Amino acid sequence: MSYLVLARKWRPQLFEDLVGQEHVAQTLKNAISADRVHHAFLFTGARGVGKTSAARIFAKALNCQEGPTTTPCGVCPSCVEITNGQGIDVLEIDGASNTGVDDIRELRENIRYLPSRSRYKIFIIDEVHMLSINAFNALLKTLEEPPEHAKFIFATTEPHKIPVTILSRCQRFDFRKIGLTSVQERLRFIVDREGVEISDRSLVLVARNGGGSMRDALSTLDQVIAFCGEQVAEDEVQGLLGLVSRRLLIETLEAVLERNAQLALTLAQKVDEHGHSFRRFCRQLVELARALVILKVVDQPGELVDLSEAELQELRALAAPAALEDLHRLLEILVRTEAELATSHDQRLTMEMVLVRLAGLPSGIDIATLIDRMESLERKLASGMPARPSGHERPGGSDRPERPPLPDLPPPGGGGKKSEALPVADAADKTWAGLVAYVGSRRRPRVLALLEQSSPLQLELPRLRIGLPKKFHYLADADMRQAIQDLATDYFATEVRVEIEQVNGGENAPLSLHEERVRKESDREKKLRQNALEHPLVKSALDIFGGDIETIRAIDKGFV
Amino acid sequence: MATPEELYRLLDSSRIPPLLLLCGQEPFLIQQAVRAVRSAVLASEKDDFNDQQFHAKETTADQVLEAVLTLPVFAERKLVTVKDVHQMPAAEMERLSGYLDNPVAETCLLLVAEKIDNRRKFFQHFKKCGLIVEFKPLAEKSIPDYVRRSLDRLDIRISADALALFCSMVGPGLHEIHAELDKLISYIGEATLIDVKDVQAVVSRGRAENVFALGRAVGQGNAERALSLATGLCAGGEPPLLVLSLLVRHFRQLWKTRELQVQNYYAKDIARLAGVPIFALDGLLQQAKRFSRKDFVAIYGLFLEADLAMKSSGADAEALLESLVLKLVRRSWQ
Amino acid sequence: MTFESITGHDRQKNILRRALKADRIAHAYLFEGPEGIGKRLTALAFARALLCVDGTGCGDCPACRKVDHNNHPDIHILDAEEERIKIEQVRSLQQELMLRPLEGRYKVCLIDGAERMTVGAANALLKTLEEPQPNTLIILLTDHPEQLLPTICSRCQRLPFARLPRRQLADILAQRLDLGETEALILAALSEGSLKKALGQNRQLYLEKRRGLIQGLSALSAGSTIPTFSLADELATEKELLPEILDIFQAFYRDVLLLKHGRPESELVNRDLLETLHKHCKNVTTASLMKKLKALESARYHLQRNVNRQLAMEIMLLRMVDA
Repeated sequence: MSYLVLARKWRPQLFEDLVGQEHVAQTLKNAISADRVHHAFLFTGARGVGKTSAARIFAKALNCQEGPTTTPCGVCPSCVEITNGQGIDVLEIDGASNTGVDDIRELRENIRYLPSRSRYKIFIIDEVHMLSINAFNALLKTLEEPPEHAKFIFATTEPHKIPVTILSRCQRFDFRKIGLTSVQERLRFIVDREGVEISDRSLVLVARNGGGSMRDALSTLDQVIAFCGEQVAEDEVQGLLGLVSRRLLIETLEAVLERNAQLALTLAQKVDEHGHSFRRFCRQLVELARALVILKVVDQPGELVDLSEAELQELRALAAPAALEDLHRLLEILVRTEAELATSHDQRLTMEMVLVRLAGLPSGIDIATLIDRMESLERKLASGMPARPSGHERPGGSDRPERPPLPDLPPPGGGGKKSEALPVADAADKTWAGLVAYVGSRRRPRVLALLEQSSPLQLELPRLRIGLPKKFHYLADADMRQAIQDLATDYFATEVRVEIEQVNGGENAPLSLHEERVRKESDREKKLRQNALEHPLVKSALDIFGGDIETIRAIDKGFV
Repeated sequence: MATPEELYRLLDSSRIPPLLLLCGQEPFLIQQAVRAVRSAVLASEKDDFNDQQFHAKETTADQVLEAVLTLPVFAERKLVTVKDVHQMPAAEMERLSGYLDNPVAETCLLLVAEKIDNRRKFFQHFKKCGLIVEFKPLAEKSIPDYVRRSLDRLDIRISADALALFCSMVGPGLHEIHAELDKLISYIGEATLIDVKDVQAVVSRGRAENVFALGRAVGQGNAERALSLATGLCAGGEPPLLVLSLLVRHFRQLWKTRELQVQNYYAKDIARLAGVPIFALDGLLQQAKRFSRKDFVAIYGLFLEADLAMKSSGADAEALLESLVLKLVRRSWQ
Repeated sequence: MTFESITGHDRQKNILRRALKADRIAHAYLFEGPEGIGKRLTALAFARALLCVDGTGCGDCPACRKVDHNNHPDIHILDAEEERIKIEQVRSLQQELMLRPLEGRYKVCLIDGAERMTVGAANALLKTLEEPQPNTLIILLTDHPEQLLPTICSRCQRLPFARLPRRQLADILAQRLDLGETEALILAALSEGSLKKALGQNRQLYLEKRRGLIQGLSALSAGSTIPTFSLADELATEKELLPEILDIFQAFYRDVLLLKHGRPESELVNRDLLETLHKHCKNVTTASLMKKLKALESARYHLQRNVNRQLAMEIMLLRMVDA
């Protein structure tokens, strides 16, 4: 004898039995009491949350011999018929198989006749969104001018597929996914009456497996009882449901976030040993990864995640040290992997590769630190820029380990600050660069500009030979030469004779300061590149992904 | 062209025009008027002989003519209704034209149309011979008052917040408004005050309202709200790609209005150039303040990624949408 | 076909035994799991126990014998016709199910490869699954549960079947085929937990040819263009065995990947090639391994799309060598 599955045996018979849809129950009951019953209803919501049950209860309430009542008796002929899905005046139509306009025409014909023995003729159309356009149009005519003795109850999982004209003629009730606790309570009610012993924790697993649908939860419960008999052992439930243990899932995420590929692979092996499908494993990982992201973004996730308080705590601890970017990336990669696994030839290998890849990614935050370091490196290089020694060493010049920092040039147009003239030190300290700086401090912009572009050919006091490229040479008139000479005399504290020559680019002339700066820029870039390439994180990224570094740019911190 | 009020005055004094055309985009009001005409014309509620109804797409002019020319049976007057007249082919309409010059006094020919094409000769002719009444849909800003008045008639009060929430959730169609009001009224049972939590419990969001709410929640950085709206939309069967395109549109508006504001345009010009209704401008600008130009560029990058992924990666589109929303609602943009 | 004679799946068999004992048999089951591991056999054993005159699946009564000979009038099996199970098949099944059982207590129906039902067929089946006739048992079998309509899945009791554990399978193979332990383990590993596969014709490939192929592959390097082409040529001529050969290459690189990340040698497939494996492990980066594995994946895809075999193999090998 095949037994009645729990979902059928325990189908709600009264409004009070409808779990998780109190708002609907209350509204319908009051409508009946106040005699404000609309002629057409639309029940929307996921499958297995109570739409058909509510429709039947409502039909019973309207047509009950005691009625119209908010508590249908359940024993009069009308109630009994409806419970069995065989009411004469309550017609249940499956929208999936009766979608044509002819079916609706038949309905319209049928509707003209008064109910055989009940108060109302009630039409319950399930999955109504599957009707053809013509069928909808035919239906609309009836809805526009509905007969007094008829009521319509439509149910659908896809309300957006229903034409607006029909939608606007119905009173719409949105059935929600049933919360975990509510499902659990109903299950407890049922198992107690069925004489089945099962712990609360096991019931949570069963309830969660329903995914918000009471029918799915009850179907799961059937499975559990079929296997375990009347005494359900906790450890059996998990195995029976094919659920990867929460522990295993969390440890896997932990391993990945801690960049421990070896541990992740060990856990994958355990998953295989337990006989789980990797697709299921991945799906459950996605659920948890999603919860991690939500916990980081939202303080009180409430209904957004289906977890007990204890589980929430655990996940919060896991999410805390991780960077939000990392968690986002983790979630996205897992979501895509789930799709890949569907068509993957070897699910286990695909999963293993993903785990190795995830555990090898450099952290988002570490890149920011990397950038930080590069920037400060830049700064150091800029300030510690050594002055290039001239072609000839100064006689008796010692190799000074410490190079004077390049003093700031006055801003164009002469800044607000009065820069002081550099102290004139002894001859032993004098360099070409120092001369130029000194000229700057004496606020002689024209001379300064020219000297910047000049090449120090020879500095052997009292002789100072400087070279200018052709394009600047004309600027060096007699006045200019005199000016330079005076300044140089002051600086070197001795008589200086200045000679200005024209030099052509390409000659082995020492670099002007300007050219030096240009050269330093590209040197700096090279240095940056060098440093980046040698940084361990970048190295490991290169190692895993292959590829080359194209450019190194200082990125705005806000982006990373 | 007569107003609805004028029509009702005529009906009240039993002066029924033999040629009547009701047109407009608000089916609720038209249905009300049709019922009023019917009870004014017919002696009893159900009068099979003298109450004939046709649908323009399935009827020929000849059938209508036959109906109007047949005298009423056991009654003073008869009513012939033709619905969706705007769908009648021009040729058929022309055949009715002749009748318009010489209608039968005992018959009321009631035509119903969503809109009329003034260039059609038939309607120009009708204007001269019969009465055309237009029913305009309710303006959005009149809705709160309308709702309040409807509730007043039943001695039920509604809090200001509840009213605002209700209007943001339900579109401007009167059928929907009345259906949702009925639900609310039933829900509160014996109570006489409607509060925000009542509205939240039972009122259904129209689909368009839902998506706007999501855009707003994301723009405001309200993570919980955005996530639960996004999940709710997908659970209601909205294709994630559609939701994505509406999010893109929302941010497009935010970006445009912000740029224009920064360039110091006047409010009405901003609204015009950005293509947003002026009453929505304030709200949009409030949201747009949170984002810099770089942020908008980055957000567009995320949109592109999501679009590509939804269309080609085979991954669960809903999960991708949720992931996108999670990224968009980060607590602090620059 | 009894429960006892089916290898493995103890958990699932126990579930079914208990259901029989308690007379709590659901009207619809969904047996899901990889192919060739025993779902159909288990379903038939279940049906036999149900229809047995004794109620035990004795094996002696006329009912049991008829089931064994595929002859019982109350068992109806739907298999795919030209890749799909069509709506006509479901409708004629529904007609059958309306009638009372001819001989046994039950009418049993097996739908093998349920994911191959056309959308129409699946929808037609829905109502039967939801509210079936009494004394009806429907068992759906599938390798790809995710391809089934969720509305179908939610109306069945789901029973997942897992691959046979490698050890267990190896023991059976060692016994049945008289193999050494290492060989048995290798064969078990490559058969993906399916006894059917292991006992199939590709045994030779898995054991003997495998070594040669792997040696050939690992000998290739960036400069060895001619040997690469010649290996590609050899592979291209293999035709039917090619998918399995790709599996072998894949198993090899996976071994290296696992070794690189600290897995013990006991988990590797190619236990007789440890030296080669260790050498590769040292010389090859993880990034490079990933590329090689991707090249294999692409090659599978290309072959599915009917790319010229030789071309596909050349591309694959060149990419692998280049990685």
